[in-house]
Amino acid sequence: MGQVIVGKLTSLLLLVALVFAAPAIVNAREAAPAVAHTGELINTPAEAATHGPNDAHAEEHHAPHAPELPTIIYIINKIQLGDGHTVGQTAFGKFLAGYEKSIYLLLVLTISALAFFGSLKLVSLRPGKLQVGLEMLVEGVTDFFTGIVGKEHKKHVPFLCSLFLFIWINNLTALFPFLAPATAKFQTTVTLALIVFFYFIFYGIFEGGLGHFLWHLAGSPKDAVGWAISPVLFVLEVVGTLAKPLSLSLRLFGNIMGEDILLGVFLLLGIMMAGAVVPDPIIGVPLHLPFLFLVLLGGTIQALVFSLLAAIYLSMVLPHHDHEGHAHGEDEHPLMPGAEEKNENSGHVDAGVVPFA
Amino acid sequence: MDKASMIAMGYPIGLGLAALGAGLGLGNAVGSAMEAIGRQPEAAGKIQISMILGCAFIEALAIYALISPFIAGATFMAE
Repeated sequence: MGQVIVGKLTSLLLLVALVFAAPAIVNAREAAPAVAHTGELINTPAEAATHGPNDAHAEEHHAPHAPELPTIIYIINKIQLGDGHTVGQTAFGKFLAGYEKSIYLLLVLTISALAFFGSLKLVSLRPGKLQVGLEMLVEGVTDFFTGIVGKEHKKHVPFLCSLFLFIWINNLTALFPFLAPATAKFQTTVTLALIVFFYFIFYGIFEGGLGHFLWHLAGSPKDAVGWAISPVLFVLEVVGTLAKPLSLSLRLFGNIMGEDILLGVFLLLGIMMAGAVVPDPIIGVPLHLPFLFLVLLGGTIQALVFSLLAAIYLSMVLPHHDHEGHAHGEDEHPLMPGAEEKNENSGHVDAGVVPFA
Repeated sequence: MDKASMIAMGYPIGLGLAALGAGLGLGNAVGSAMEAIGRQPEAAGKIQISMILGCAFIEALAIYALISPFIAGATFMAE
């Protein structure tokens, strides 16, 4: 079973690698001048400064940028129009290039919405493979986050699950030819991190009360020593809390963008290798194949880390009725699972969370 | 020395140093986690979650070094 899945995955990734290597023809001629450009800039910046305003702008744009994989919009923008211009030089092409990642984001959202509305009608007694697979995924993720925030805070689980699935699917678009992950754009990750930031502050104050939130910010003091050092801890915790969205967003953005650039660099290397043998290669050497596995792994781990940290920040500020300081609610209640279930059902259970029997 | 060559020389050195530190930290963290799992295999799940979390914090430092030239470089070169 496991071997079959691994085999299928490998062949799928090989296919993806070949499809990526094929548009080498599109990218190779573009990438070579870019490299020459950067070299020229490093050698003679004075000369670069004497160029016109257009060139200066192009260079400023080029210098810090690494090679990227060709995307749909990149290819659309290279289409020649009748009057000698490309689509990229028109207002429409500039709009597409400016909102490139947002367009992939909308694409992912559309597919997710279709999956959501499609799944509403599924009440089959004999579910198909896809349904079973997706249900296993959703159930596993739900169980995981329920274990972290605790069973008494089940209403927050849908938020965390959708956060995880959203980031995960977005990260995995790096594996699809002609798509790029929207999470490789800083604006996307900053938005997600700010949502998490305001969410946990709002629910920390709303559910635990302002007093509990401030108590948590003061380092959760319990004895005289704790209260004595609480002013110092309060300042530290406030700074730490403000740094949370920054570190969350930078981590996700940096990882995903780094992986994207890694793929681009090795793709370019493969094209250069093929170019050393054949003068004008149609297809590059798929040197980036091993890194596709890295992207698959890294995308999953980063999505997990982002939502796991969100869950932990949330569970730290939410009130726990028993003693503090545990992340795993389920391990703390080994007794009387039936009573627990009843308690939850009478409490607030969101429509999205189905209690697991 | 001009701006562009400063970036070109400083970036690899800084990134290498950051990768060195993060590598040492990650090696330490993962090694200890493996030891802990070997000693207590039934707690593997909890240890793994904490390990991944810690790894993410360590890795973030290297990531800051990776992206700061991209962010700072754009403004630096624009001047």
